[in-house]
Amino acid sequence: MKHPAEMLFSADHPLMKNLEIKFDAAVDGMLTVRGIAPESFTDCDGVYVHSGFASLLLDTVMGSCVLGELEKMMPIATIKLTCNHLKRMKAGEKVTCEAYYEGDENEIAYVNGKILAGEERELIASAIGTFMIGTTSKRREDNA
Amino acid sequence: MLDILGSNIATWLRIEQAEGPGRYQLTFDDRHIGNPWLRSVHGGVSASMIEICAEAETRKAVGPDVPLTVSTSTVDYLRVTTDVDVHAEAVIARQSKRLSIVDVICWQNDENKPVARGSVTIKIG
Repeated sequence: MKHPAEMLFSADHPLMKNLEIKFDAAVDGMLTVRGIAPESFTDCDGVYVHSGFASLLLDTVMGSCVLGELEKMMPIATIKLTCNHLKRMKAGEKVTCEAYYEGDENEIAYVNGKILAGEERELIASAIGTFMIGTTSKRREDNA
Repeated sequence: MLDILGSNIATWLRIEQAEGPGRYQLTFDDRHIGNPWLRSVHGGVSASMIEICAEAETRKAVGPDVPLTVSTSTVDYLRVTTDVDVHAEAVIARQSKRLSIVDVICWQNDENKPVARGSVTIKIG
């Protein structure tokens, strides 16, 4: 069975299809994706990628990590995201994003994540994500 | 001039200044969708918007040439989003010589029903 991240980081997803980020592995509660820091997300200098990209990627990978740990597929929602931006990554640089599933209790899942750059695995950003398992949200046409 | 609103990320996310003090707008596009089934705006897009608005608001306070770097951001997601524009208001809670701490509130159709709130710490210089 495919890990949810394999489907998310695909050509079908409206946001992810714009990023050169691909699923790499999911082992023992740890999800890894790899790719290239995108030029389309650079800061005003046009060289370094803005921290907002790191937050976006961390939220995505940590959420996918939660989905991969569920016994049955159900929607989740981020309820809190905290990111520490230690360094900036250069556009075109190889990046790795890892998420670690810490556990869940009372329908809330806790995940840690980090972004590493280059072969030296330089720490770019670290994050803590908190996710609600199972949401009450419905499609708008279902609410009509 | 180091204007974040003129950057590639702000252009890609379609974030621009809006009318009113500290106000910004993200014009919805399909590329912002996180959950295709719900057609909700990706939580990471909201987080990015909050960081960009905080930086833009700090830029107004410090002038055009001082380097700014986002250090930390914390975002609470308050409501589910839908496939419409996101509005934001950024307020500097405290600015010192070296740091700016900015609170940002985001909403969609109803300003009284915020979808996310964030606090961003920015290093000045």
